[in-house]
Amino acid sequence: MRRLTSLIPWFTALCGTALYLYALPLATVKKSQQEQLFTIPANFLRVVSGQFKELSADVSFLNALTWLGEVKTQPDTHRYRPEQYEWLHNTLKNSVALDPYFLDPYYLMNSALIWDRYKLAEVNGLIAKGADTRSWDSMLAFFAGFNYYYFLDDNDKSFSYLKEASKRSGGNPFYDSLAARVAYKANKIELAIMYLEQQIHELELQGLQNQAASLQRRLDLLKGIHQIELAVESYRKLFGKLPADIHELVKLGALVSIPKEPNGGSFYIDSSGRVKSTRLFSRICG
Amino acid sequence: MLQAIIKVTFLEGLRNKAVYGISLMAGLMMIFTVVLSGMIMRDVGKVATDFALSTATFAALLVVLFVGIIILARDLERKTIYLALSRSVPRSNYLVARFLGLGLLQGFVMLLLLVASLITLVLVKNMYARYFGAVSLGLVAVAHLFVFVQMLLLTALSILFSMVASSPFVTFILTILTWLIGSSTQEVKLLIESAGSDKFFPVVKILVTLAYYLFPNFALFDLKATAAHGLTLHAGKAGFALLYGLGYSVAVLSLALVLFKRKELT
Amino acid sequence: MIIFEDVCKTFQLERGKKVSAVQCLSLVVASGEVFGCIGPNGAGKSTTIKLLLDLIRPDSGTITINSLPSRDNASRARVGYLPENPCQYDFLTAHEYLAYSGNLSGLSSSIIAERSSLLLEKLKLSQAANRRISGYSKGMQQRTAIAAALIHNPDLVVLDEPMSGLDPLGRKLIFDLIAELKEQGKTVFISSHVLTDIERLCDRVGIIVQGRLCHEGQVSDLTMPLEELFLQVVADTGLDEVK
Ligand SMILES: Nc1ncnc2c1ncn2[C@@H]1O[C@H](COP(=O)(O)OP(=O)(O)OP(=O)(O)O)[C@@H](O)[C@H]1O
Ligand SMILES: [Mg+2]
Repeated sequence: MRRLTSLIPWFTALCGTALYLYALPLATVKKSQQEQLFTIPANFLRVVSGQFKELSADVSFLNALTWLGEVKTQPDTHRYRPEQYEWLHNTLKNSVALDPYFLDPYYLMNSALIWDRYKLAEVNGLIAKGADTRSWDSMLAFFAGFNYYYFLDDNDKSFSYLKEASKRSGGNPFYDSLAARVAYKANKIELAIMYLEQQIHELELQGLQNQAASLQRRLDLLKGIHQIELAVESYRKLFGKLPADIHELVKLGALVSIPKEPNGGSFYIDSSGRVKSTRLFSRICG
Repeated sequence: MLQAIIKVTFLEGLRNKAVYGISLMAGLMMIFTVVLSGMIMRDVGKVATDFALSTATFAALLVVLFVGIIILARDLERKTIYLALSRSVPRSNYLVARFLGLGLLQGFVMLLLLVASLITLVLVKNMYARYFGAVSLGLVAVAHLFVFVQMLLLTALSILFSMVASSPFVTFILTILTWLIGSSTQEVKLLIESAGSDKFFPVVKILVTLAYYLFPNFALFDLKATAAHGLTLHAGKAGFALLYGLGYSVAVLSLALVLFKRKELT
Repeated sequence: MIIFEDVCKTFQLERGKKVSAVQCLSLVVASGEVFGCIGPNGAGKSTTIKLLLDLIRPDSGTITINSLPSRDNASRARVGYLPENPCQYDFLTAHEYLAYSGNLSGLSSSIIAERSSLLLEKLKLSQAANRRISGYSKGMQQRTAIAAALIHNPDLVVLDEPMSGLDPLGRKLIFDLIAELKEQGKTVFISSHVLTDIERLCDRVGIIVQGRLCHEGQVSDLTMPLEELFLQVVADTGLDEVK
């Protein structure tokens, strides 16, 4: 019996080790914005988590998710700090390295990294790889396809992933129409508007109103830019030159009113005739 | 005679407080799994399956470590073993019966865990039907079977260690180390092979290869990803893993028998 | 019949030290005989018994039970053993424990039921028989162990300090039980420190000191009380401290 009771420390040690191992990814979460963020190398995690790789993947993902729920973007740029992006990227990459079939981290990469244009080629490469691994899943193929066209100007890859998405979804016409637009090199903004409308619809179905609202801001921005650009185009056709500013378009009746910039900045037309926002974030996004 | 020893072993396990503690922990983890599922965006079924299967693996491991090892150690330490061995019970029969008794106990616990896992997953499936994903409940059951075979092998190993170790602690440490190393050797080997020849010293490679063949490959019995994503389980691979587990157990047990026959029970 | 022939046993201690627990022991116990084995603490009595039951193995020499070598499992088919400081599976009740003990010898359940109620009755344990052994007192545990050793009605009974932990009533019970075994013609091998019991129960005694059999003889031939003889034999070996 005495030997038995002296096993208790071992038991505690074991539980402690187990907790430590599986909470390792958690060690990277900190509440304040000021702290050091670090992630453990994926290979090391794969080795130490042994038969609990999938669990470790889940914990990594939840870690990133809760972090996103707590941390605010910087007020002037609506972006995170570079090291924060890096941490988010590494954490999600770890999750995917631990379980390459896990959908959620790809999903989060797409919404939190791609749209903020963080390491586009690398992150979309991961998403495309995920689409290959999850050979039955149309969503990742759709994401990869859209990103290749919209962010990376790779029309061939974009087309093949969108076609794949259509095939996997059993011929969803939405994917087909996107693929067709990619094929005749349609206006990127139109494609993005289609994409965002579909995503917002999905998020609202899931009851994720917060995330839907943040996409809605992006959608409003793109819609505003698109509206003004159409007006600029018709102005140019009429007068053979660019308008001096947006107000000229309103005066002439090409625009009913100036669309509201959702992030609190304002739109302007640059010297090459492209419509932009005065807010940095909006500029990056547009 | 064999039956009597098997029965006593099984009863000892069931009347052990540790089993209740472990079951309680597993039950709480399963409830936690249901709660946690609400946090997941898309792959809800997959995460729930991971948690359920990881809980089952961990609980089964604790049964080997804190029930199996203790039962054997206590038998030797308190000399309760004398009653059987002072009769005409051959030592080999005694050890095999002990192993079978522990196997029966482990099987019983696995069955409870399987029921708990299935209840958890069906509950999650009903709550988040749209996001249950490709989880295969049949494969979840097969995964439990594989955990069971794996734990049989670990039990055989712990019996072997208790024949050479000077105390239950040593047995405990040897068993858990073997499990931890055996769960990772395949991963390390793949890592080193894929890293290119110049990245690691040749010594490291030799050591890793040695460890890979020396320790049982427990990763073979890990079907979590297969069950959680409904991947195809190749019959050949599955059959190999089962044969490997059972064959390895028999080999380890035979070695333990040789040692046990020579052991002085002072 | 039990025969020890030149049996030696040395234990290896830490750092290469050795203890000779049994040295060149030669001893014959005839069938139907009650043999008492006495000696100071650490003399090697328990070691001798464990050697007999093949729980430990001699360095040299042979041991046979009814002309079967002790290494043969069959030699112990009709042996009942009470270890010193017995420990039972205390998660069982006395009933369950006796059933386990009976099953080990291949008894049928009806015989087990019959024998165990008889023994529990004799050892005054019937009241507690359905309680778990973990709740028993030391003496109750000792009685349960004796019952377990006798459940299969063995021909050779090996008792290592059967009186330890028992109250005077319990001692009387065990005393009567051993006397009954003697009457039934069983072979009994007892190690004990209660010399008066040995004197009254045994046909023959052996005195072991420091692993050697220093004296052996019929009780009926004793010219002085056993205790006096014991002290004299021990004094002759020059032993003044347990080893
Ligand atoms: N497992 C062991 N390892 C080392 N030495 C041992 C072991 N068991 C017994 N011995 C030694 O063997 C000797 C004989 O021990 P044994 O238990 O046979 O004595 P005993 O006659 O039964 O004494 P007691 O009357 O106290 O029960 C003692 O010196 C003891 O130290
Ligand atoms: Mg003794």
